[in-house]
Amino acid sequence: MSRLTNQAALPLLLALVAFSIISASGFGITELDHQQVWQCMVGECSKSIYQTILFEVRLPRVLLGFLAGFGLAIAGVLMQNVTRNPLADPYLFGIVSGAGLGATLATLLPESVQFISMPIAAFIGALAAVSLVLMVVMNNNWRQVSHLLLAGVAVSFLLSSMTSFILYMGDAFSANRVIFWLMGSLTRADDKTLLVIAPVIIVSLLTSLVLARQLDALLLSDESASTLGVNVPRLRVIILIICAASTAVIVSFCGGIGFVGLMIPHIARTLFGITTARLLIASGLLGGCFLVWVDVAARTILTGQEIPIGVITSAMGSVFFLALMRKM
Amino acid sequence: MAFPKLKCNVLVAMFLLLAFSLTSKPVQSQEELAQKAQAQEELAKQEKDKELKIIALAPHIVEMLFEIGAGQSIIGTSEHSDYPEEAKAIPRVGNYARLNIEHILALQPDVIIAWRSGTPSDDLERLKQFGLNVVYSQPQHLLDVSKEIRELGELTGNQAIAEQKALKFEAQLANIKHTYQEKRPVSVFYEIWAKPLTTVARNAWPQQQLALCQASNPFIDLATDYPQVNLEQVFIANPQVIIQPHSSDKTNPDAINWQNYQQIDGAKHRQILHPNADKLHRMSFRLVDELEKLCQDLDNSRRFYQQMSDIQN
Amino acid sequence: MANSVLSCKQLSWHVNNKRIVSEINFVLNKGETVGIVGPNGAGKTTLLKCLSSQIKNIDGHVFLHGHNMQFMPAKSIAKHISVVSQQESPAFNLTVQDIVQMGLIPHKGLFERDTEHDRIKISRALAQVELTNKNQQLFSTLSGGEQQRCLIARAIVQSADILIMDEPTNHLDIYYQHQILQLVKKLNLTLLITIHDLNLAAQYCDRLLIMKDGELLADNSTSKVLSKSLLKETFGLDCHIDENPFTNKPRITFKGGSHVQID
Repeated sequence: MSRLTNQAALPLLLALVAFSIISASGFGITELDHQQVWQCMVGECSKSIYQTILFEVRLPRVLLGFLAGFGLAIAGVLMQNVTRNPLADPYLFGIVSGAGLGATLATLLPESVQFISMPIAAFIGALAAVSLVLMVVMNNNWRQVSHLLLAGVAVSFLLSSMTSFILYMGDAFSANRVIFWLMGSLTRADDKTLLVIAPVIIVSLLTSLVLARQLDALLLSDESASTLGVNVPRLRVIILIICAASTAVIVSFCGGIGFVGLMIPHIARTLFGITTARLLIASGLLGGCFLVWVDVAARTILTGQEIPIGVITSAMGSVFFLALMRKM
Repeated sequence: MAFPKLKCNVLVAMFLLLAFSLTSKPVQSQEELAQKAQAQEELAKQEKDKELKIIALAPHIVEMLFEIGAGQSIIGTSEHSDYPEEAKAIPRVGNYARLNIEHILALQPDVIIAWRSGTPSDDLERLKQFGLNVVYSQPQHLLDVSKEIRELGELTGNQAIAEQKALKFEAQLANIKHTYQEKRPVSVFYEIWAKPLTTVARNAWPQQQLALCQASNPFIDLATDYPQVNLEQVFIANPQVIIQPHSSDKTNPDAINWQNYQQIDGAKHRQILHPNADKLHRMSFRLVDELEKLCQDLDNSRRFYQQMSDIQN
Repeated sequence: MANSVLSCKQLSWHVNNKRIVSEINFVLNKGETVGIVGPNGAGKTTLLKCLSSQIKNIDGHVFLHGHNMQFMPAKSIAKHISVVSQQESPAFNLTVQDIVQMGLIPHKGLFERDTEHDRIKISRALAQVELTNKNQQLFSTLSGGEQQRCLIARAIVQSADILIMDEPTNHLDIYYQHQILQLVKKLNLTLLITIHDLNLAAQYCDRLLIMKDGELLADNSTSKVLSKSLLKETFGLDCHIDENPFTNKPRITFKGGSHVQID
């Protein structure tokens, strides 16, 4: 296993990011292809509607894909490092089922305010789920980190059952809407969405980079970290809150996009090393590119319709997960 | 002492300025408005001369548009819009879960007709933000169909034919109601889905049709429009007729084989009906013919039981 | 008193009303090597955790260079006390370099990056424990002795003046047992070590503490502590003490045999 050095890794990743974002902007409806996009970029679009499509629909979508992938991947890194569990994933907090419950409750609100309230309701739901999990775990003094994951699973099932009940009692069409929303999609992308998500992810990244050295200490054992002067419980709570906030924001706008946070850190770890700072940056960039390309696949594989993005990531992720378990 | 005077002057000057700007502006804007209105009228005329470009986002909307002769105006539609035959050739721009926003923008439609409960509302909001004109179809009751036919006629300029179709629809419905409203109710079980066993209740679309045929539904008061029920409950209810709608292109392998349950009157006496689900469940023009047929079949069952009780007596 | 680097007064710790460590008083002086011996469950490891501030809800006081440790921030404690624990099993593929680098943590502010000086410090530490050419190897693939040496290198980088080791010779063969103890003796630190092997304790420690049932049974120079009667009281076994012909230090041989009871 050879790891890339800093000097080689960063330019390589940045080149990949630039290539992915530019290249992915050329996929979509067939009339607006790479050539037309190029024409729009260097001068005048051949039709004025292309201007709108490219800059207000497609590019925001590509950028949202990158941001969401970035955020989910760093949340995965943080979760795995902070629990020392290679199978940890921010979704194990019950974030998605919490967001799902929030979104479901939002469908009960009047139609006219639904566009605004669905992401907000989902965000509140996600945070509620995380708080519930954290409360349970903090009450038993973090005796075992694996309790965090188990509590997350239990909360997930609890909230999902509540969601199912509400959907069952409610209107069949709003059930569809929530179910499809949970499968994940980037179609909500616009400037406003980007302006909400970007700061959250940037703050999460910077905070965790600042704490990277302390997070490294945690990689060996809690005891080892505390003998190195790290306040382990406090560090863990800070990191979990960061994970929860960034994942909740992403989930509330993009729905359930599973396994990115689980899969990407593993790939980044073998290629770029496991200390927190470089793993964070490498995973983030890699995860961003990954989701950009998954979204390209989602909107081009079937003509005339999209595949929900979460369907693709979950399919790839679970196969990856099984392969990983076989090796472990 | 000069100070208050100066202040006073300034105030007067400001007041004058304000008054001037208030009086002069409306004069200007009235002229502007007139010009604008004229330009808009011309634009509207030009647009009327051009073919109207419609995106119709539900099968029943497509059917109705074809019915009133505006089918060729549809430039995009959603999945499952399969009637009439020509509809299958229309480009698909989404389904009930997701619309392809890029595609719809590129088509530059004049109007998007969406089904409020069957079209993703967040995507429609997005399209509205891009300045597209969205109108909704939301048939709740059988008579809403004719109401919406008229509205579509208004929208496409085919008022005459729409009115004619609407009147015909209403006449047919009235006829059905008139024919059966005095008849004795016949109890039915409506199997909308087999596993899990789901029926209709309250204000569900098929329930309104059952009411017109004077068919009584033992489950009408359950909590939701499409409640799940237990087979045991069906045994207890013991319906005289079982309605098991079939989709025309495929049979449902999960559908319950009611012949296995001879305890139920409807099964014992082979009173099992298979109306066409595509026609009956779609909120458009075609349903009324299929509904006539269903009521007719139910009336046959009604007569069957009448004869049986006559013989027994 | 000037020599004292770490001391405790009436130190007790209990969990669920059960005393694990009971009213311990002792002083660790600068530069000495102190061993803690005693049967399993005597509270040796717990005592080390209390002394290194890993256990915080203690009764009594611990003083580090004269300061009450309860009021010291964790980081300042880590600048003075480094700990090498029995066995570490990292979840991910940490390299030797990654682990040794952790020694810098107490010395770095949130926004500080590694300097050239740090890199030199790390490579010197690696050289001292003779792991220079294994610095990119995965920690989990090292032998037991190498893992201990790697953790010692981390302690060197941490540059604390007190090194606390919990059973450093466990799981090691005889060669490595001596290698590790000789290595840490060479570092010129104040050492506090728990140890099972009394002969090793006799050979390397200046002073010995005996613990039993959470209490301190003896605290004296090695030769005085290793007496027949005290060992019988501690371990319940008769023994024979003579002189190690190579080191002239006490050599203990336990009788064992018939009076070892299995109940």
